[in-house]
Amino acid sequence: MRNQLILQLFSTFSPIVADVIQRYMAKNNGRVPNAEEMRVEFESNIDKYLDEGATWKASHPRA
Amino acid sequence: MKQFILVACLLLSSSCASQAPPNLTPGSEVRLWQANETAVALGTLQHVVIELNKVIVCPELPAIAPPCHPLVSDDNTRIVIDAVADGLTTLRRVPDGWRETGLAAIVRVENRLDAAGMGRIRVYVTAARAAITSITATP
Repeated sequence: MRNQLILQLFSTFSPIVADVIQRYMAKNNGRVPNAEEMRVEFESNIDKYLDEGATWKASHPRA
Repeated sequence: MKQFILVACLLLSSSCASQAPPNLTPGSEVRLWQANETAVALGTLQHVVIELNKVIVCPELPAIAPPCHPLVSDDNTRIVIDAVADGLTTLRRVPDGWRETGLAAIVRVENRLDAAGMGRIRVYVTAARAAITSITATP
């Protein structure tokens, strides 16, 4: 059970291997993102991860 | 054992997949791509740890073992979140330093987690480090 969970969570690393650019190209008829689009994705990812951490901390105050 | 096989697979596959596409303009576009890959590696590590923190395990012999507890403790989860948050904030400010920033966050996690926590998430820390080191410095 625990090993299955660990293996399942490991698969969440697959987007790194899949390559964000290739996923972008697949969604946009093979077009490569320009610098502005890449910056938007970068900022969006940072905000998403910071929010996830902040949400966890808000629901787990220090004892 | 399966975990280490998966790490090996990740190392082999990521070394091919993390090279910047050749049609990106050298300079800012490539650096943003590299910084973004680093952000995804750190963010994914954080996400996995938060998910493991939600898993509650109970000992088979409660009389001689601690009571039910998260698979990754709150303290260890907080250490990862703080290290990742500092890394992401630095990445946003200085995308050019993506490799140093990403690896520094990983080292901070390794140095501050207790032995139990490190034992639980070592495979994911290894995967995150592999993901960052496999990003090529030049397109």
